[in-house]
Amino acid sequence: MATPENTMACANFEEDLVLYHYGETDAAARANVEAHLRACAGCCGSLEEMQRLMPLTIARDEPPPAFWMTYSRELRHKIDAVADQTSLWNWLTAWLRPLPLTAFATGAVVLLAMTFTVGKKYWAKPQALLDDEVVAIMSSSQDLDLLKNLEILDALEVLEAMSPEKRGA
Amino acid sequence: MNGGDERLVDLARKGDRRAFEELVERHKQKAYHIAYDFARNREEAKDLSQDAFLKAFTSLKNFDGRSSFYTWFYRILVNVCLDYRRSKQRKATEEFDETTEQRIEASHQSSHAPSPYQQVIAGQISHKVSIALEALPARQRTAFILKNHQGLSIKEIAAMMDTAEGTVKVHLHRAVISLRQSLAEFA
Repeated sequence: MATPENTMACANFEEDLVLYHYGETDAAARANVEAHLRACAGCCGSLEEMQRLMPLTIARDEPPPAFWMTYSRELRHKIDAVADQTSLWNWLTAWLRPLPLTAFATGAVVLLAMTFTVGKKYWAKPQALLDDEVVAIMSSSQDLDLLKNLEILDALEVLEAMSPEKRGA
Repeated sequence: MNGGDERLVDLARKGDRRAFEELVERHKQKAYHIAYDFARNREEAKDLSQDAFLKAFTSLKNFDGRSSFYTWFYRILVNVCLDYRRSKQRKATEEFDETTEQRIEASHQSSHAPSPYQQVIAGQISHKVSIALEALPARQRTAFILKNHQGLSIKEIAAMMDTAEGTVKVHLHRAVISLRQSLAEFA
């Protein structure tokens, strides 16, 4: 068993050792690593430890043939369900595709109709208010005339009071 | 391994369901084993790999053929597995412990009639490995699983992870260093 002392790889060779272990070095790098390994016990120990430990991390599972039959059947059902959903969606979008222009035109007509019918009272209201104001002003002007008439009556009373008959009495 | 996929993909894109089923038959075992490396549970691995096939089926119209079907599909699978891992990490600790127990049980079932002593050792190693793998950052774990467990090339892994080969090498190196530290007692 390797001891910690003889499994310490040189820091600048660590990554190369990993790639060497997995056969991912080109010919030149491989030759370089092998030359280093012949001279370095630490890197040799490190490589041996890697070769021992890394396979331990693999947990292979080999399901029985029945599993694969069930697997395929289940997946076929799932695909069927997805395909049904997709075809329904495609049918719906295909059916709705010609509608946008028609829907837009219909919407515009409805909006105009609403504007000229239901909306009329909203935009006609300011005019009605104006009429009310005019009536109010007119009525107040009539009151003004009345007041003016009353003032004239007051003036007549003053004149009457100043007349010689009244003064003589 | 993936020769002729393109012809089947063309047919499947035109709505040929049998062609897609043929693609499933070609790739289901490898897809399952990759998913198993992430989940370490048979049922979950089945669900994950089936989800990846379903996603491939629904997005087949978006497959532009710039990469091979093989690379495209396994990229989907890796993403499904990483999403699964993220969602799993959000779950409570007691659920994690329960899953770990299942994993130990699964590893016992999958071993080839070992002795009781070997079973105990294998159980301990499996438990430690599960924890050590779970502790790795997502991309380190992905690079490690695809290289160490599946034996894919760095180039293939880079294509599946949609990253540079140099980045994959760094992830792999860091994953190996972390795992060696975690599993030092079994060296």
